[in-house]
Amino acid sequence: MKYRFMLLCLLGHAAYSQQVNSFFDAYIGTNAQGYLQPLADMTITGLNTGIQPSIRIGDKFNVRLSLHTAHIFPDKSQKTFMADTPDSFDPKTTVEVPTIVGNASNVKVAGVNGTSYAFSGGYNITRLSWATPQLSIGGFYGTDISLRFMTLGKTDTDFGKFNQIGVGLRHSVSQYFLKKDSPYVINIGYQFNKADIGRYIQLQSNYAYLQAGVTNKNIGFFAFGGYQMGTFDVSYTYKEDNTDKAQTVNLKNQFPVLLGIGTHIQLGFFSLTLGASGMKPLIAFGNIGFRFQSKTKQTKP
Amino acid sequence: MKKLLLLAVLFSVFAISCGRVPYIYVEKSISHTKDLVYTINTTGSINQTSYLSMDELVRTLTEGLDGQLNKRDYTIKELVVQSAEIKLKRNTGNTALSMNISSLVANNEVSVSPKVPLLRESNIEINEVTVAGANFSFMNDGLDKINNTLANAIKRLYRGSTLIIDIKGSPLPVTARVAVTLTLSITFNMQYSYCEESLFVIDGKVCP
Repeated sequence: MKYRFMLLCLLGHAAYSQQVNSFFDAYIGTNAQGYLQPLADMTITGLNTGIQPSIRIGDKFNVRLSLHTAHIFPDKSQKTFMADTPDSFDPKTTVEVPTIVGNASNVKVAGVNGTSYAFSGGYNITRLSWATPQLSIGGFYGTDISLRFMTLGKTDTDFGKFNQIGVGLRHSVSQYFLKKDSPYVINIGYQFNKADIGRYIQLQSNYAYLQAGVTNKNIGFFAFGGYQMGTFDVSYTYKEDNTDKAQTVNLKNQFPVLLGIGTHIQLGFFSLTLGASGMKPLIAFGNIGFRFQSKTKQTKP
Repeated sequence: MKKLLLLAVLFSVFAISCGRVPYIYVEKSISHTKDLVYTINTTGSINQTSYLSMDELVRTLTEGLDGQLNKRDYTIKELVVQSAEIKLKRNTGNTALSMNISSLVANNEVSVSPKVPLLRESNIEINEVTVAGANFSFMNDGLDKINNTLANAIKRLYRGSTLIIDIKGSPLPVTARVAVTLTLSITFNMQYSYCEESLFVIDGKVCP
């Protein structure tokens, strides 16, 4: 069983089963930032990918329900980070060690006179997969609005509750300078995402983008590019002197530019979108959707 | 026909997503500092002993593992000395300016073993509080003795084994009274592995 979707089942699974704390508690302090950073980049970029439900927004009122999936592949450079040995360790050494998505083997460092210290390994994550339902309402004044909302799990479990909300706005700018029957489309858009991944992760991101494509009634190709900013706060506990101590690691995404390409197929009320984005991390995404469209055209502005 | 195709696609997506969660192999390390406290109040030569129970040390380390003990195939792979530090706190009645100290170590695995040097002799000033790194004072024989005892402890070769760590020394000036609390802090690093239900999607090493 090589892959599965994180959101629908794994988070649901985690929501009622195990201690999730141990996934994050390998480090505290600055080493924790390097260890967890790829998770922030992969999650924020994953949420901002594949948010465009189509290419042409259209001039008929429509409602589209789609399931968005993203497969996020960490870059090789995201597999390791430079970590420092503890202050008490001689000699003070900076070593390349696995991040949370890196190799699952500890890295041992020799100290003076036979002492040694080992850095924890990662989880050998080669792909993080994600599935999110999305509702888009469009066709008014060359604009559509997309909503993502999901809640899973129970607050009284170790994992806690998974809550996700996303709001996207997209507007056709090509309607102002291209003919109505032009195959070319240019849209601008904005996406806001907020998620509580159990009691452990709180994230928030903003993404502004430009989408350009060429399309006919049934098939089209598009490219998009934009700038994303996000915060990713990981909270966990660790033991010190046999007491639980709280640690929060505040991260920001390190790769603000997000570029991608895709293709969109519309067959009746069924639509399929496939694409890729990146570059760090590299993401393959797909949307399966159903579009319900009115027969009445909206008045153009 | 189109509807049937759609249903087939959706069913496939959910079937893949809800498969059995794999167990993945995880390696981690954890550190713990154990303080050995020697209260010294004497004139002339100093000779004090403290004991470190291996069972207690392993128990303390594993208590910090946040439930990982209960995880599948939990294994302690290595337990070694990471670093050491000496802290001197001057007590009432002290007249010494400094003290020369060294350390010896033995264990009681079969019977009490011969004592071997752990820390080479060094001079430490006695202030209100003095902190001195001890990593560069380690002697190979003593460190090997501790690391071997730790290795045997995690293999459970000798139940109830204990490290016997002596502090020896003399005051300066030699006629002065040494009244200090000496804390020898030894930090241990433990490597362990276990099998974990994967929260994430992996193509790496999977536990059988």
